[in-house]
Amino acid sequence: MAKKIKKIEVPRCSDCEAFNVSMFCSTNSAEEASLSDNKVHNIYKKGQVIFYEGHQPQNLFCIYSGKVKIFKLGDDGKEQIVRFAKKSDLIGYRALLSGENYFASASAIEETIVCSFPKNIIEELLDHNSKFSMQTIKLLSKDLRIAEQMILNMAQKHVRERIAEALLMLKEYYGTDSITGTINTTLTREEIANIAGTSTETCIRILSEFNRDRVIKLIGKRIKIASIPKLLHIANITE
Amino acid sequence: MTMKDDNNISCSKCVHKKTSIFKNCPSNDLDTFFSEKKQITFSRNKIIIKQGEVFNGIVCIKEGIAKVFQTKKNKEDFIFWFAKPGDLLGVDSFINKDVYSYSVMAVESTKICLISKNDIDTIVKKKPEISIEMIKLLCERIDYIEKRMVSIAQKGIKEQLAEVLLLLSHKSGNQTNSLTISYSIKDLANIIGTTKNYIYKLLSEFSQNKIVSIENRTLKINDVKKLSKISLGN
Repeated sequence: MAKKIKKIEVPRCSDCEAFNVSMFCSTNSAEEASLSDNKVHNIYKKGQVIFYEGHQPQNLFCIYSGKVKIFKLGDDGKEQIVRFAKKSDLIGYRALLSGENYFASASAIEETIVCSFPKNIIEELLDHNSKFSMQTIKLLSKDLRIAEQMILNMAQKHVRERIAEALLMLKEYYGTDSITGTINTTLTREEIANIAGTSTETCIRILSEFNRDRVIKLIGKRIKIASIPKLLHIANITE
Repeated sequence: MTMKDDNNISCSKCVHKKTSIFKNCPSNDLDTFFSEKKQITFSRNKIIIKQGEVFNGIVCIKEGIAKVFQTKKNKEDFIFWFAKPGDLLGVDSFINKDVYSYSVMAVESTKICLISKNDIDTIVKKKPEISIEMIKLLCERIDYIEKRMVSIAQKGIKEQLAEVLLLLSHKSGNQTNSLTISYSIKDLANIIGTTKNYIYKLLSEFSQNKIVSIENRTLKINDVKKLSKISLGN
């Protein structure tokens, strides 16, 4: 039986609507052409892994469409989500840039199209385009601060606060549906637990408490934030 | 009291040059570029960098140990990591020239070199290959924080303490596996996010089981294997 393969097309980088907000906006036309000529794209179904922690990176990935979670596995194999990525975000850059193996794994949380660029093209960019390297430093500095905030919350905040914060983060990052007002991503309860660093059971219990107290509204798998002030209060965010 | 040292040692003669982000810079260049470099000694518990202050330069630890931490209103300090000789601080604030996101405090007498904002700008412009080293450094820091994040999220306090002790002994880089507890019990509590009492209780348990021994503010790891096992939850 022949498998049905969905044919997808992606534009050249310069024609991509994400180009100007992506890390590649500082490239000149020759560099952009080299990126476009050498890229390949892949489609990942929900749950499919884009790269694995511990593997050697060969490519830099840029998300053309869809959503991705970046996670690490603990000693007993439990997942901890460290970051999310969406359209125009680069993923897998840290390992590639520092010449190490992947620090974390990435998988699609919905159907995702990813463009991948060979390592040598990116290295050339870094060597010759100082704007690109400065932007990379900027991106990493931001990543470091996000990681610092996450670890601080993990160490000092209670699980209720952390789940409230995770929901606010998801809303901020992925936005809300213009019609239903729900957060534009469907994560499992387990995944939300894995952001906040708690068990699935605790996460389910706290989400239904939030639902009962009309802080959020659970609509099937989707979540609508009913009262942002209340959720901010629970998350203990004052600034 | 902090004091300025007069015997400024040039970067080209510094033992940390070969492992720093400046390792590929010709020595003469460094000494010319870093014309404004200051060498300062901080005594124990003095603040080297203050969280929220505007970026003033990159700090290079020459001797001593310093804790890198964040303070939040009504909360205990949280320690991200301990900086040792050769470590650079403030690299993440350099690009935006914004404020330092953390404080740095000397845990023992610590000698640092402060490389000014202007000097850093000059060297990055003239030696763009520095940026690759900065990128690697930032990647390493993020990796470390994310690893700790997984531990904090998933491990018990006992496992974490074992892990932190191994990490610190590894950081101090000596073969005997002893590490000085000029890291106070409080510091150990604040790197894990728990109470002093709990750390105290666990340390006495470790010492009863002869995994560590504590003498004269020095903690010695006697049984690395056992401690690794505990850190993995076995």
